Amino acid sequence: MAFETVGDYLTTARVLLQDTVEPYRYSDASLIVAFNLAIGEARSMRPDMFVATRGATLPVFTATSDSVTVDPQYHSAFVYYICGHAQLRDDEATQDTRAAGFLGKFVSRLTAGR
Amino acid sequence: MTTPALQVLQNMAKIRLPGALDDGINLELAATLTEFFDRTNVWQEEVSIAVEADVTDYTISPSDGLVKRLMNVVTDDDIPVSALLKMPDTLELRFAPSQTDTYVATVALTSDAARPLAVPDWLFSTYQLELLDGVLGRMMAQPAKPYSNQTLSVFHMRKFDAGVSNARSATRHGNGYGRQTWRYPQH
Repeated sequence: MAFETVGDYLTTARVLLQDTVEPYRYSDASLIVAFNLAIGEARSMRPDMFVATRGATLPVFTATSDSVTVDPQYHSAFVYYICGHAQLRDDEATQDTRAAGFLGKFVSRLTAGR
Repeated sequence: MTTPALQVLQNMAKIRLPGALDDGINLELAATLTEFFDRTNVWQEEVSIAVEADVTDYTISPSDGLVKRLMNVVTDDDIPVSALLKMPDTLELRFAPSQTDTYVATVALTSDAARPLAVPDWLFSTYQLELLDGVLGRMMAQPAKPYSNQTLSVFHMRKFDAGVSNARSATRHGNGYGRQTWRYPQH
């Protein structure tokens, strides 16, 4: 699957969130917010991912059709972050564990490569 | 522009740096090149200068890169001339010529920060392993990256330092085996 737009990341995240049938449990808007947060988190951990922006303001995505460029090695990391952020809002103990797992995967993918 | 030898060097770095991004590798390669050129003087060029009577300052314009160091200046008859380099690219003769002539200045070059990888392809081929060690050492020294490895960083930086020493020595000896660079007339 190509990861060329924000929507591509959201579609993949919805599979892991078991939220592929409309009406969605997690709105596009809330997942786009999560994606934007992931961009900021990635910038703090891996500034080399944003060399092309040359210190300019980080992109802010507002629609699923917005195009996005992320190195293919790290597509999964952003999907994990979207999932983790979405599941943080659930207050069941099992969801907390799942959220922490996804967010941990995001960090380990960026900093440890696995 | 990515030349074949540069591409090979980048690929050699990638397979040793899991998770590294091309932009990151290129930035550290640029830093490695800068240090390598500064410490070795391997990238040299002879620049002809049309001198005029009673004029001491001339601009040196190499075909590529930036002038880092003045190695020597000779007249058209190969007679050494006393001169110094006023950064970044002005040659100042100690004594003004008494007549028009063509001098030849040998300068050591370094990469232009605006186009840091735009250096002759032969440099990437000739010093492939030295540059690779420099890139790996610098990349592995970065904190909190998938390829961070302080032990290997030290290892590669030591190999890079040894490579720099060898390259500097070879350049100083005219890249000849077991010979010295002295020649007549002496520069």
